[in-house]
Amino acid sequence: MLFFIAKRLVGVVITLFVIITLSFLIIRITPGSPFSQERDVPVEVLEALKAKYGFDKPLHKQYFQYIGNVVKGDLGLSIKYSNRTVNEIIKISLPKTMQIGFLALIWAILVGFVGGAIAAVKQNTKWDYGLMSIAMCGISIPPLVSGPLLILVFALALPWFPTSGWGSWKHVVLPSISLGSVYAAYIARLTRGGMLEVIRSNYIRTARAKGLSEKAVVVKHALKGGILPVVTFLGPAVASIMVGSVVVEKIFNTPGMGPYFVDAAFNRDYFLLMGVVIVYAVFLLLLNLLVDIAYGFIDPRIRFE
Amino acid sequence: MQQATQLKETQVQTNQNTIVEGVSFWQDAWKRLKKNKAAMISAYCVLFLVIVCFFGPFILNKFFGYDFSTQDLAYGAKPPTLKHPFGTDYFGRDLLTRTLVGGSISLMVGLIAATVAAIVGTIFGSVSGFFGGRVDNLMMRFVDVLYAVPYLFLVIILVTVIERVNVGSIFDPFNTVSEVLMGLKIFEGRLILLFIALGLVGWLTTARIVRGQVLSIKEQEFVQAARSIGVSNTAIIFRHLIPNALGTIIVYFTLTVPSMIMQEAFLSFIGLGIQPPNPSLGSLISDGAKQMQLYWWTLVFPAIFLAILLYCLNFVGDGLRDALDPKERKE
Repeated sequence: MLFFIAKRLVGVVITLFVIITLSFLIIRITPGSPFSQERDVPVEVLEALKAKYGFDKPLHKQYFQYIGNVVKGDLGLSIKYSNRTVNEIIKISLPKTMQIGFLALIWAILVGFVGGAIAAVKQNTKWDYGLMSIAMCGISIPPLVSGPLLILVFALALPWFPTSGWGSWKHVVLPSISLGSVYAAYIARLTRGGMLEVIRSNYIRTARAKGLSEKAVVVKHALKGGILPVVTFLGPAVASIMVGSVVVEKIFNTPGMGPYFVDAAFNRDYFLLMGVVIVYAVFLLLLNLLVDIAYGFIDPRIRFE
Repeated sequence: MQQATQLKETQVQTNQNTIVEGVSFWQDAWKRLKKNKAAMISAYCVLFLVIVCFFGPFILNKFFGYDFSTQDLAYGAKPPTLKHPFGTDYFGRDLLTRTLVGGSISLMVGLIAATVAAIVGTIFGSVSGFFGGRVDNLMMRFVDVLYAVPYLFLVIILVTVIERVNVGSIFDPFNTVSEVLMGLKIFEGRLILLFIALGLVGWLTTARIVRGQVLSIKEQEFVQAARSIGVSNTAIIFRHLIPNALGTIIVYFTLTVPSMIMQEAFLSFIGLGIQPPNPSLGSLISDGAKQMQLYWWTLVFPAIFLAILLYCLNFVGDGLRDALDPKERKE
């Protein structure tokens, strides 16, 4: 078990290293420069700016320096938001993104799991069809559509929540509803599928045959079948929720990491962009590892390799 | 397909008085699809939406003189009326026309990007699965790495790079058609490249799925038979492996279309996709969201239109999966 985790951690570090190298190369080789936006900058100023960020050195030296700094935990200076380090920007903005993301995920798991379980138990009834149609709606309504519509209804027509900004708990509600609905829908479908697979298996029949109540059969045995596909889905889902939050944060004007990401990519804010990519990658890789570990606990048939 | 057909033939219940013809995999799938009412209704809805999106602007222009780009600032934004069922936007343009043109652009994006993704994913996945071993390992690690890089980052970089590429006149015939119908060259410069950029980033899932399929197909007897009579690797991949994985490829293609439409909408929303005055559903929603306090209809109609389009496409994709992938089939 410990050996498995250690082995996977080494894999995570290697993948991360490859991602950093690849992103570094992609950002630097493609045309566009962080300074091209400013017009009529004297050559001396431009040179001084380049020297400040180390862009006057050859690329491979910059690369090794950057890798060295990343290992030390220093992600460099932002170019657009001068005088602010990337670490600082991420430290302030990441918790906001995470708040919205985790709230979205929690309600998506709760609603999705319960909905999917009900649909599976009442398969081919009105409940099943109704819930699965709602789930299909959820999948077809991306945050891009649901976000503005939620603002229109629950912030403008009915003044229950603020339209945008950050501060109180009310600011988090609409963004996380908008962000989580797609995932709730996916989780409901996965739960239903997973449960239907086991509901017909022999051990469920045995449980029924020995006189267990229907409730106990569902809660003690069938639900387990629904958990596994959901757990598999959670790893990539968390990462895509982080990316999805870019839209939501733009719509709701949340000062999270999303807007910085888009800005940095537009402005070629090299270090900020790299920093954001690294944070996303770390999240995804660690969560996938966590999912694999959780697997072993939920389903002992899956052994750690 | 061969082996699926054989299976089916043995399963067909033989009745002594009637001659039973073998049912091919595709006929069988078609029968299953026809039985799925939700999928069939959505398929007709998609067909309807496609026709309306591509021919609607032409008709609106012929009979009412509406046009997606001509401005009438004096008229300005008006709520829905009989004359303009979706209302007009800030510049006095008919919103129905703009939504339909936007819908056709979104559909084109979905189709082209999903096609690119399917081609790249299929070739990558089948090569990886076919050669196996170290090649497979390396290629799949590459996919894993790309999975961990946020696609948004790749798309933004790709879009800014390929903006400088000149595609020349390859797409001229298509442009003539789209100009007659919508008064807009869909395949011009940046737009077509955006389609391709989305496709180039969206092939990862298809590659994984196709690889899995190929891994199981290549162990079967007919592939060994082909190899024993000296068929080349390329021919085995293209003549035997890919056709047998076609069902799965089609399923993932149809599921990629709505997700590509969603991503184009998102890119247009952050200002990277369509450039004004050309509309796409994403840019219309983005504009509508900025003005929703004053003109709610500029947001609501394009947003609902996009949701309906995605809903129907997703249902068709689901139905196709149930029909073409019997293993995945729900009860």
